[in-house]
Amino acid sequence: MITFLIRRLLFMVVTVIFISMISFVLIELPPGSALDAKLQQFRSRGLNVTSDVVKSLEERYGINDPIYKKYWKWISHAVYGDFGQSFYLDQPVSSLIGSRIWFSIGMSTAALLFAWLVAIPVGVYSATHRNSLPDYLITVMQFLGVAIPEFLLAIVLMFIASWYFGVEVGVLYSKQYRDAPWSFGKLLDLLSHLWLPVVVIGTHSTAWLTRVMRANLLDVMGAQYVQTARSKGLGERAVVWKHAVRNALHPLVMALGATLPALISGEVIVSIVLNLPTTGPLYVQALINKDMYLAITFLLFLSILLVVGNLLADLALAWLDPRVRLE
Amino acid sequence: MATVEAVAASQASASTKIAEDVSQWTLMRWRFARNRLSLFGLIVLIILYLVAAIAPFLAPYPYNAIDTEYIHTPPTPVRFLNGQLSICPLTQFMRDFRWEYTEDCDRAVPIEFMVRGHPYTIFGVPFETHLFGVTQLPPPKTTPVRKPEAKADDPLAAFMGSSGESTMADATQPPRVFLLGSDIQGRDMLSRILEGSRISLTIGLVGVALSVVLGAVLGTASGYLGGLFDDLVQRFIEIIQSMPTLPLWAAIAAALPPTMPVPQRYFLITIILSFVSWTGLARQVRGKVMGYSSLDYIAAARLAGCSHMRIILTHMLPNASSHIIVVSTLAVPSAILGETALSFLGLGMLPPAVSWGVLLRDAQQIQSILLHPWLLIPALPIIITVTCYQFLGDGLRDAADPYSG
Amino acid sequence: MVTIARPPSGAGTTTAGGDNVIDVRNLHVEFHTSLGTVRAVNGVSLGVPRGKTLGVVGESGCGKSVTAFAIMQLVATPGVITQGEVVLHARGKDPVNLLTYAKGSDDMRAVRGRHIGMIFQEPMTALNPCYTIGNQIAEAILLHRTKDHAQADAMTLEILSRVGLPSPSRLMTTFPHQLSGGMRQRAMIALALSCEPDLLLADEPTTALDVTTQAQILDVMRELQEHIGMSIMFVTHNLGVVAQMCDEVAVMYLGRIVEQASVDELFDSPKHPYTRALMRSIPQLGSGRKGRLEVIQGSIPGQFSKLAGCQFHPRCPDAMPGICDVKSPSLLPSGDGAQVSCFLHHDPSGSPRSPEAVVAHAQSATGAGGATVSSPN
Ligand SMILES: Nc1ncnc2c1ncn2[C@@H]1O[C@H](COP(=O)(O)OP(=O)(O)OP(=O)(O)O)[C@@H](O)[C@H]1O
Ligand code: SF4
Ligand SMILES: [Mg+2]
Repeated sequence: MITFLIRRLLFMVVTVIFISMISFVLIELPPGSALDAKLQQFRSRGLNVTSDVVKSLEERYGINDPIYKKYWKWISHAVYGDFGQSFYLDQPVSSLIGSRIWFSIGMSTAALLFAWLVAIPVGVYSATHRNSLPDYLITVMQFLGVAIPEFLLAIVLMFIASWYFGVEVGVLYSKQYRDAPWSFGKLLDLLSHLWLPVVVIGTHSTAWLTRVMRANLLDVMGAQYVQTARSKGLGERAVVWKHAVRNALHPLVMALGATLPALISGEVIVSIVLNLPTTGPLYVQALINKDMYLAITFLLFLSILLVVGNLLADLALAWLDPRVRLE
Repeated sequence: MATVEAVAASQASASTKIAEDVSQWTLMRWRFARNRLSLFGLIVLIILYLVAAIAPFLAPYPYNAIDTEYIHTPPTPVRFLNGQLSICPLTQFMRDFRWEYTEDCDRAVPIEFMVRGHPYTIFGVPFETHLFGVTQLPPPKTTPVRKPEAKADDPLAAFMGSSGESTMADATQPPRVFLLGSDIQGRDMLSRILEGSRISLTIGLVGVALSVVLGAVLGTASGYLGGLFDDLVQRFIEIIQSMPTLPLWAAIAAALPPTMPVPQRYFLITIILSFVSWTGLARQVRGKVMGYSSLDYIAAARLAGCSHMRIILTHMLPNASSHIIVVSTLAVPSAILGETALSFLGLGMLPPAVSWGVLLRDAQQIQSILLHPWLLIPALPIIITVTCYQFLGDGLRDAADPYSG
Repeated sequence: MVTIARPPSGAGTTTAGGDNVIDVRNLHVEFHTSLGTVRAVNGVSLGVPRGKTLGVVGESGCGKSVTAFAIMQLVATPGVITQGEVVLHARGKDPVNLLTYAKGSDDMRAVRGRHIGMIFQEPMTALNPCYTIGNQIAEAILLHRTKDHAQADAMTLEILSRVGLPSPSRLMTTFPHQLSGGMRQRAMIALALSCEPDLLLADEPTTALDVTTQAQILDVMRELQEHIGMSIMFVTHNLGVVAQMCDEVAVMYLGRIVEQASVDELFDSPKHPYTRALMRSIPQLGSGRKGRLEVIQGSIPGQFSKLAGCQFHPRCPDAMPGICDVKSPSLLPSGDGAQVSCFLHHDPSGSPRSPEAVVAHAQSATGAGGATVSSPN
């Protein structure tokens, strides 16, 4: 188990290094730099930018260095927490990313919890009431949940929330708490603003996980050990929850690796629509402005989030399944 | 020891006899045909693609025809007047800083079918006929049009005087029929959605086709060759799969210059979409191929001196093909949704090209949807398409492999 | 005519009117599938004598397992019990028709595990991979015997040592995947017998095991049978195992019992043409090399087809046209204590035929002499 963990951790580090390279190349390679955008900005303000200035700026930012040199420069600082400077916003990347990445983590985790808490009972209900009317309804909802793009759901729910319930969307705090120090009331207020985006982000995964759960449970319910459990005289509820669900969770945890990317993608796009102060809006803005260090760092962090999520999924699997644990 | 099984061993039951006579594909078709939902999905998809193919015939107007006299008109009501389907000419008013429209049904004009309209081509053949349209001019105005009370303090009404009313009811143009409303430039939403279907329905399909080629080739090679090559490909796949899909797509798409011509951009977006989805396919195919490698007939073929290429092409790929079809069908929805999301973010297809994602970009502002809810209509075809692909994919999977969940 | 060694058994006890633990009467189970209705069990009647072992044999798919599951009311989903009676005579209790209990009722659950235990063919999949052996056995004990966990653990240890598993205390914390197939089957037996049931339903418990392990498992079962004093319904394909283990045998064909008799009776003078064909398919030691192993002619009709008359008549070498393809025989006592469902042994009206008439008919049907019907090759 310890060696398993060490192997996984090592592999994780290697993966992250490769991801940092790929992100760097992907974002750095295309022609045009943030400097051009910056110069454009200066010129549009009527400032006269001489070629000397351009040159000195280029030197300062290492614009004309070969790519491996730039990568090394960036990554060797990055391990100390210095991810470079945002050209566009004139701030260190680390200060821009700090609070936003925590919001992203929080939102994704909450959405994941929401998805699991809904998907498992609904999937179990659907599988144990196969071909009943609720089962059909749940199945239809699953298909729709996967088919509706997250941003659309965000728009529509935002529409409903503001139209019918008068909820403010796109903000995290009500007015009276906006600059207030942290308190229990402020936390509640935050949660009351966050549930909507969390539900939207989680919908896709919920639908998908419900489907996986239903199919797994149907599979497991046909297994011999479920009949064994019944033949002991256990009640159907104990048979389902103690013997079947436990085994059906296994593929569900394995599917975590597949849901996490979708979850993080969803978080990014929903935050853009709802204009939440998470990574999403800033990331897309950075891409459009060719603010490369900011964009690379975001992509790297989102990937790390995913890699860590996968590691946790592996650990959960080991905890769940003695066959993995005792290997 | 004797077993009853030995007695039964030599007897082939009736059902296995049938199974010997029909091919795997026939069986698959039978099982598929029993699944109503996936059959329904298939039929709807066929209709959608047919519609996309003849989109300009169904569209009453050019998708990019701007008409400032019809900004944000709500869907035109179709009425049954004088024994024909008709529409009523509209009168445009400015009120509270927005355009409002009133109908004048005394001067209704009929909707005609198979009318001549703007020229277009389908597969290079020029046409001028459209399924429907309004060509007749309304009769001249007899009674003054009822005008909604303009508030006295409405500055714009004051500015425009009593004639905050446009002259379009008297125009020399026939009134326009916008079954799904019009957008901020007075363009027909129906025509735009129809035009958008051409990009939205195909971009995911082409993207998946590309990833099928890539995935099948790399997956087969990786499973068949094994060793270092397999290791490298697998690690690479793992790394790509450890990056969040949409941000990755966005990062690559952001590199495309915004001024690129539409066909080129279309093609590059398909490549971007397939950049992630080939990995899943390659894994599946690899698994299948590794399973086959240990089968006797592959060993037999190898002993018989078949080349690697030949074994892969004649034995493995055909065997994995039903699997490939299923996996790729299930991959199309996420590619379609991917294009939509990218376009919605302004990183995918860009105007003047139209796709459903591009159209939904106009629905980004909540104020805009509150006033003009019909701007959300392009979401419907997306949902229908993706749902139908799921139905189809599910049915195909069950048909190809009835014993999997 | 059969030379498989089997332990000497007592006088051939018969079922009819005897002291049975369970009596199944006219049981019908149907599966309603999208392709049509499968009548998997179509009027099964059998009885398991108290303290004895009843073997159930028959071709694959004839409904043996479904019968066993139906006794427990555990038939898998599309299946429904449409008709019949399953009467349980538990020790110290009034006889009760289990089918009057609802499937998931407390009454039915009190019977499962407590009065009737069950073991399956596949030891690999019969135990839940997520829980330890100890946990799974104690679960049954906690359900029926005690509410005290320490006591349940003690009982679990005891039953584990009884089935001959080494170091039972370690098994308490062992997961199924850490055991071999034979050990798992022992654990499964321990589980099924943990509450000392009146009846054990054993559905091919040794089929998946190698011969040595098989013999050991059979020993364990016999030992425990004596210890607990329970009855066993032993489903198997293996006539050798039947000869070793069983006191009575019921032969099934297409969802019905065609013959039930004591083991001696059945092996020495099989009555139903299907049973006879079965016997002939057994390789016989010392019978020389000339006889090829016989195969029953024809094939089983499709699952959905409905056949008039005797279900066996298309394949029966003795079929009597005009009788067998018109009327369906029922399971009735034949002269010497056995029960047979065949018109060779009783008239369509139900009265038994004389053995002479049977022989005469058999001779005329096959055109060969001797009491043994020779094979129609
Ligand atoms: N879940 C099911 N759905 C449909 N039909 C079923 C189902 N389970 C069993 N059957 C039908 O019931 C019949 C009897 O099955 P059963 O498992 O009792 O046979 P068996 O005698 O135990 O065979 P084997 O020796 O192979 O175990 C089969 O022919 C099958 O067609
Ligand atoms: S009833 Fe007729 S067909 Fe059936 S087994 Fe007896 S002789 Fe054969
Ligand atoms: Mg069976």
